[in-house]
Amino acid sequence: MKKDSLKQKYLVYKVRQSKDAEAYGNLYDFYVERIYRFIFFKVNSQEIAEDLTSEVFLKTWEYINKTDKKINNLNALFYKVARNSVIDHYRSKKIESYDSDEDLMEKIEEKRNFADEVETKLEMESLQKHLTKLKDIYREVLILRFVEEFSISEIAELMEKSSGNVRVLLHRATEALKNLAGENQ
Amino acid sequence: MDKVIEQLKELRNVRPDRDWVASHRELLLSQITSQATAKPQSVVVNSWFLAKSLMPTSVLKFLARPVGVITAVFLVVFGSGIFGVSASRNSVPGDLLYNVKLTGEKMKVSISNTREQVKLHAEFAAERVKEIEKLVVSENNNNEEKKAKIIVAVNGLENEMKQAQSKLEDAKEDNKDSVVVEIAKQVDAKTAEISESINKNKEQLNELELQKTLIKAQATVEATSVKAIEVIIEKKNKGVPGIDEKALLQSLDQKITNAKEIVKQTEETTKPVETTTVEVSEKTAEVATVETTNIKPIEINIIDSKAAEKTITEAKELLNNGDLTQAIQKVAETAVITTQVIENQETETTVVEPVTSN
Repeated sequence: MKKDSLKQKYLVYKVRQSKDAEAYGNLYDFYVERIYRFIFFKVNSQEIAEDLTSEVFLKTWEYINKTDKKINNLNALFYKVARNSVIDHYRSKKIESYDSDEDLMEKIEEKRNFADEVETKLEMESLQKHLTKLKDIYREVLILRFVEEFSISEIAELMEKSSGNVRVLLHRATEALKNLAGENQ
Repeated sequence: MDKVIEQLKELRNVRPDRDWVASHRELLLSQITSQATAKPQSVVVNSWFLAKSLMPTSVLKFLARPVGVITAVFLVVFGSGIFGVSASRNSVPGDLLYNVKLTGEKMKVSISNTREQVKLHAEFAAERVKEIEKLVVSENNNNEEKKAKIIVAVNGLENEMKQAQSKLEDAKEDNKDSVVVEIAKQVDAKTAEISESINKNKEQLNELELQKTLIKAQATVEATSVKAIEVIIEKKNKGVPGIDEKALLQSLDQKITNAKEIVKQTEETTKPVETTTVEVSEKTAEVATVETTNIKPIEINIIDSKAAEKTITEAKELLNNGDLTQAIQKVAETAVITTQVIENQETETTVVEPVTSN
């Protein structure tokens, strides 16, 4: 994942200086899929992922227009806002991630339905199923590293951890996923 | 590479629904546009922020001091006037650049779609109100000239509001329901601001004719807000989700209160016309015939005011019974009657003037 391009910096400048909605629309086009995907793998529901994605774009717009700080990494900003929105969502709804088998099966079913919609392969469904069984932090680090292609240092900044911690987390998460997928047997 | 890692990379194919992405984009832009009241900045400030956004912090720090010194010297030598914002933006009726401003607005409208046109007309109406504010407090010794300029701005305001109403009617047919609802909400909020601002200006004006003109404009502004609520109710009846019924009821209740207030103000401004007619009849026997013709329109006004009050009462009853659709139609009827009352008064005023001069 590259740092913000010059074009993105210019768009952020236009948003901050002239509250240019169309410029923000261009940033939306660039980030909407990633942010949606990031949230989707955390909440396991298409509907909630859509609602939270909407919230992220509104919150980020407000932040950009209110803050006096320089925005060095818009990419990290969007993911941070998304991460916090998911945390707030779970706090407000008092949802325990995977507290019963019944809940888990429901969520897997939702995922299956969505997977059907996007015509992913059966293998992918199975992988998604395994992902839902992982600890939230493992799932997050795997998605950021392998799906969104963030560097270790970028993940460290985003998760507010050291690079060493992220490496350890990534190793453990990969091993846990492999165990679930039966690759280590 | 591990198979599981390869599979993880395949998850990039998980994407949001395309229709959702497109409709949400439009909704988002519509929401943020309502906050997007850009403050005009000078070229120097803009250039500084652009540099700040694009350059790495280290380079910026290195350049900042000498650039700051040079800019300060430049400002001292040449003054800041040349960096001012476009002059036409701040012009008012009577200024040389006022027509440039109006032409620019028309251009914007002509290249926009119906939904954007609704918002633009509401924005331009708010701009006319700002012009009225400036003119009211301006120190112009020529009262007639000042009055004429205020009337130009008020007419412009009415015109923008009527256009907004017409475009809102067109927007009812628009299938992007959520976006239309959002725009209607924004128009409702904007009209509330405009109406409040008109009230402040009315208090500062002693001239009866100007007060009447402003009340008429206010009635048109209220009619626009009623149209906006009508659109929201229609979309709600169509099954559009996310419309807060409680907020809608409160808003409708507010419209009824506003309609009452306008009817009351209209009745109050009718009284001085009646007095003038009596004075004329006492002074000159020849105007006795004219007096009778003058009284008639005032009677019509009183009847119309009563009709307006009746529709308001009916609207309130319908609202209490939860019939939003019929209630808003009654409020709309009140707005039409009130505008007619004021227009009748204007016709009456023009009849009286030549008689008193004889």
